[in-house]
Amino acid sequence: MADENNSLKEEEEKVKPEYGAVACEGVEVKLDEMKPDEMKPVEVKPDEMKPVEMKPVEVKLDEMKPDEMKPVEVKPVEVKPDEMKPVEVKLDEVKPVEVKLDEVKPVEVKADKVKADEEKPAEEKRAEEDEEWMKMEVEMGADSYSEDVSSEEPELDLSLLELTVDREKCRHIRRQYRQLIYTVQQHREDIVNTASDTLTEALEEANVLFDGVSRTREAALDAQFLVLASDLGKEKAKQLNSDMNSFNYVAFCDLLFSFVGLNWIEDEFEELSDCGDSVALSFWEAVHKESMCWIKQAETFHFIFGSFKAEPSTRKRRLEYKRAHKMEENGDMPTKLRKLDVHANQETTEKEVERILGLLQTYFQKYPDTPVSYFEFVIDPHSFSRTVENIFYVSFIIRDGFARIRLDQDRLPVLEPTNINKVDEDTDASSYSRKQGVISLSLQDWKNIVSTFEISEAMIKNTY
Amino acid sequence: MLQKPRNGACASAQAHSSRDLGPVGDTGVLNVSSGPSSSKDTLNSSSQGSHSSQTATYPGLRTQKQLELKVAELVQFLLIKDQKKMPIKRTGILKHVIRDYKDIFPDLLKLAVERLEYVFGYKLVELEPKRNTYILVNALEPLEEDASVRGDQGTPTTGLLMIILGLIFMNGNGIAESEVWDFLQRLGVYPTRKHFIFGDPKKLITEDFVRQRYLEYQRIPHTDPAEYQFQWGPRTNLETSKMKVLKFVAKVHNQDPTDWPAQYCEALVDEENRASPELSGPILSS
Repeated sequence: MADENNSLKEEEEKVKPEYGAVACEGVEVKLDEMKPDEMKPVEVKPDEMKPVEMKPVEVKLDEMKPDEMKPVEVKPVEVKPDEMKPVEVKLDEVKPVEVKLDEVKPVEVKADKVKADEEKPAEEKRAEEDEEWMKMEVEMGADSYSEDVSSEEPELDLSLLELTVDREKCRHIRRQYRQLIYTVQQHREDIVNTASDTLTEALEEANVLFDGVSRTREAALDAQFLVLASDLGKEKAKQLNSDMNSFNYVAFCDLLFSFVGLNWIEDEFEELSDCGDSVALSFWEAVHKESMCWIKQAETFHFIFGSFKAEPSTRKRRLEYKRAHKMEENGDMPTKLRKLDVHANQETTEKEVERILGLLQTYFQKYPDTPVSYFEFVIDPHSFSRTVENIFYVSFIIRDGFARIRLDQDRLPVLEPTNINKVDEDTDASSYSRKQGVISLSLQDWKNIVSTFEISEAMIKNTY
Repeated sequence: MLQKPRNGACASAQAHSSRDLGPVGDTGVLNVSSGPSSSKDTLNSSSQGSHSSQTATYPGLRTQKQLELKVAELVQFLLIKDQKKMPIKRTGILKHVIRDYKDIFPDLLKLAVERLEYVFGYKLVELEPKRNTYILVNALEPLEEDASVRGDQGTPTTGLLMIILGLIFMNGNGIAESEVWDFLQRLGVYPTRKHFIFGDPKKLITEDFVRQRYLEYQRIPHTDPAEYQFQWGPRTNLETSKMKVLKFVAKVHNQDPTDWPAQYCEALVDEENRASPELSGPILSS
């Protein structure tokens, strides 16, 4: 017995000097089962807020697991009902320690109680613990403590009941705290900006809630709420200051317009964006000009003829342009252009030529021995540029010898197929005097031809 | 030291073009004259530097011409780096311009500073003490008559900046981002809409101005969803002052700065602080 007492005393003394009381008005934190590295002080900073009447209440720590004990500024502790295990505290681990800044209270009573506990049956151990705590509170009640601490002579049944009810109560309290914090955060704007009593009411509610707090978890939530409330209080105080100076934004805005000389804006248009771009530009330039008189900006240095390395800047400009396009635009989306492969020009020409040759040969197969009028073949009544392209491609056909062009009776050019069988004539073809013809076609000519020949649709159909 | 009599001679000569090499000039004695305020100390220290550099680096002997070139390069570097208005880092200077002239970097910088001041009228100022970033500030007070002559370079962002600075100051040196946007929307500037002058206004204000150190953009604690607030950045305090911003606001209102007593008092205090510890201010200290 004595040994145990001594060991307990030693441990108490070991622990005592390390931890001080909570830096809050009259709140004491008793720690049992504490390990030096877990215990972090509860920091509450009430700065610039209304003095809150916080009744001093003891906070008990029944079960302290390493991960649960967190500093107050952290988000509320996630409590799962499973975590609330019944306290299985062995006698050895029980270190009822009373921690205080100034006073050093005698600890003998605890030792006696512990001694007494040994003799009692195991199932009452837990109850005894609580009993001890209550006794402790009574002892320390010498200072200004609340009266809701249980009576001096607790009965075992009552204490047992209280313990089971405690869990529910604590959960309820935590829920209420979280709700309070949530509502205050949601109405943050409202609280800060209006002259309402919402903040005071919330604080009073927290006060009431705090009466029922008996464990660190709830105390942590309470401290979190306190930090939030004090932040809001600080903002409210700031608001108070600035109201005295009465800087009116709307007036500033309107005066900016009148300063620039755009007095009529308020009457005719709602916003600056409704007016034309030039008006807005002149507004911003005027403001800029005036601002330059009040700020000692160094003018940026640019070479007159530019510097050599132009590449980086264009790359940046392109990026900015892309980024600007990602945003919402007032205007319509620009019509997307198809990517033109400029390098495939050579193949395109050949392909086109082959295609047109195919068309021509089909025609000749359909209508053998009838030369087709050149104009009818080439002209596209809907597109002048297509017409020119067709002429270009047909010239290739003629050059390669797949068709022939000659003037018919009416002195109009016609296209004739050449006989591919006559291979012999190939050598002769070269001996033929190469005749060259230059066809010039202006827009007016094209229109005239279309109307004269009454060409309604192009013979050379396009794929696209 | 053979240099001394030469120094006496060239001190009276033109500020920076002392082509005096002296009898040992062909071996490349470091002969740096530091303008009208030439002090023998810098010359001696620089000559000592050259002696030490002779042993340290291979191109230890530097001709006057090389130094002139280096200073000119440095001035040009600083001017061009300032185009974007981003703070210039000392490491950048050392890496791109100075390179192997590191040992005489302080002297080179000093010369460059003087050149910038006398030729261009710009001051090279350290942005924050001991952070080794510099900015160029106009040494001349802006005149209203010059407004028409001043070039239109780039977009007129200074107007927007000044408005925001005014908002911040009149609101007690800090303003929430949401309030800034409420105000700017009345002027047709939206955070999500493309502006035909400013492009992306949100990026301009929350990123560009912050990177240029005109504004500070900080998160307000305990807000969810996160909200931010604006404050004056270090560059603002160097380029303008509370009194000037107040005068700008007063001019727009066509009123007197004294009509806002709290802000006026604050601005007066600020002016006093600027006036008295002038020497210990953010002057270039290499």
